[in-house]
Amino acid sequence: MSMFNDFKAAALAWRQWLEMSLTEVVMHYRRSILGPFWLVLNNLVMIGALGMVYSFVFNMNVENYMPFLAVGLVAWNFLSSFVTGGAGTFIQHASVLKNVNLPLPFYSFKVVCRLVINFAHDVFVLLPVMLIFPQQASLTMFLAIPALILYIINGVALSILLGMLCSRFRDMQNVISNFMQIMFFFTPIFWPASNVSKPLIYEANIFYHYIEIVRAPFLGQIPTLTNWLVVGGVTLVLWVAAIVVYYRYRWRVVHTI
Amino acid sequence: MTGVRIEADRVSVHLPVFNINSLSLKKNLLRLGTNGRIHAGSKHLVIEALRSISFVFEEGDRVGIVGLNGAGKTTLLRTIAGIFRPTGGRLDVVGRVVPLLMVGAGMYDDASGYENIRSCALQHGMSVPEIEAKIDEIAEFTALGTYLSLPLYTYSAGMRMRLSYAVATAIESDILVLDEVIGAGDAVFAQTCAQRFSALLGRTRIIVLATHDSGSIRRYCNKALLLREGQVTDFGPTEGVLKTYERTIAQMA
Repeated sequence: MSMFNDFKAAALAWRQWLEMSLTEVVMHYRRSILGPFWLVLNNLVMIGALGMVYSFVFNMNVENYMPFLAVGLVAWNFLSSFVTGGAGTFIQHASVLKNVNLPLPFYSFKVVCRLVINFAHDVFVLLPVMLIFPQQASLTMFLAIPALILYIINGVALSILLGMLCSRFRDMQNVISNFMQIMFFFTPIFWPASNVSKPLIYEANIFYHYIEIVRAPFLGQIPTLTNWLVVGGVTLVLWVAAIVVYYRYRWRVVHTI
Repeated sequence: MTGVRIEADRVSVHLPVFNINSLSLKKNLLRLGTNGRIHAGSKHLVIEALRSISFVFEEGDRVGIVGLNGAGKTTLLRTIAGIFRPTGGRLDVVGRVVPLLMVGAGMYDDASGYENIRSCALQHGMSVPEIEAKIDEIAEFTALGTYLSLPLYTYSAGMRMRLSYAVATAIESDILVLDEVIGAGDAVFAQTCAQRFSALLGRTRIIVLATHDSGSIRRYCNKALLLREGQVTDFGPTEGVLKTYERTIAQMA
């Protein structure tokens, strides 16, 4: 089926989208001295400020709080970059879409690749925090690898699904970025879940489970089965939705953009 | 590849238009002065960019597409290039199509000329080794010299065009699809272009060229296709079609 050929052709062109996304990151560096490191700096400032507030105002134990916050924030930024970045996939490439014949998933792979490169910079957030506040070195850390791969798999589906949705309904991009802003506060990232008397507040939140599968391994814990099942289930639903929408509307994108 | 051809059998391309206040536009439909056909669908407007057109372009054909603004020239080129899909009818394209439709699409203002050559080539589906092999030749053809090391924002429109044109014509293709690109640029570049184009004519099996410049069509094309309101009104040897076209213009003026 031609739909699967699109995905196959896009995947086979990996050297093309890899180089194109690298170029975009390099361009980002060229415009400002720090380039993508601004994201790293933003994260460090945020972690420092919140760390101080929580330790001085709420008298919380910084040694546990800082790694919790740092890993949670980095995971959140990665995840939310797939949501907001994916939403702009086709709008961002409007002129290219009408100029050359590339399968739509090519653009999704390119966007996801760029976001992964940006995320790689966050090693410089995690490393100092984990060195200053060492967690008990634990093999659980390796569990973060499949979790991050799951994020990327989600990223491709989100880019196709939200990218197509936003190219048709131009208000959606703003709705999505506002939604993510709100969810940041509702998800236990800068406030620890253990303090909440009604766990349903975060357990009903899909994003909590996404964060947990990355954060828990870094803090020497094993994510719960529920965490994995929720993330696995949502991933499956996203992919089914992405494939259905792609099959039905893929030509709409270039015909109307 | 042998048997390179393009065959269109009652091809239609209808493009929906969302994101506009279709109610107020519907009222004004009759007053629209374009050469395309627009009708109000049940929920949204539809532009009938191509309406049931049929033709066959065969190996060796150099076809000039003529027609007024909005007649459907660019839509036809996009459809041949596989960028648009026919919403009706059947289109068979045998051969590798390389389109050069819009100058500057996907270029980076902060990147140097060399970097933009690479990213343009990547967009056109050129593989990395293919680019490595050809980049010097492309750079030479742009004749931009040291400018190639400078960021693109220092370039004039003509210089950008040189760069796009150099990349698109460097790709091995069976079918080359060009939109209003010949004739821009200065006299020197026009001359280089003409040479390059003649070389291409020998190499490429089919060329489809949309332009308002009858001169280039007479010079490069053996056939012409006249579009009007998304339909083919004439197709055949260049001179006859251009005569029809010029007559149409005279009638309208």
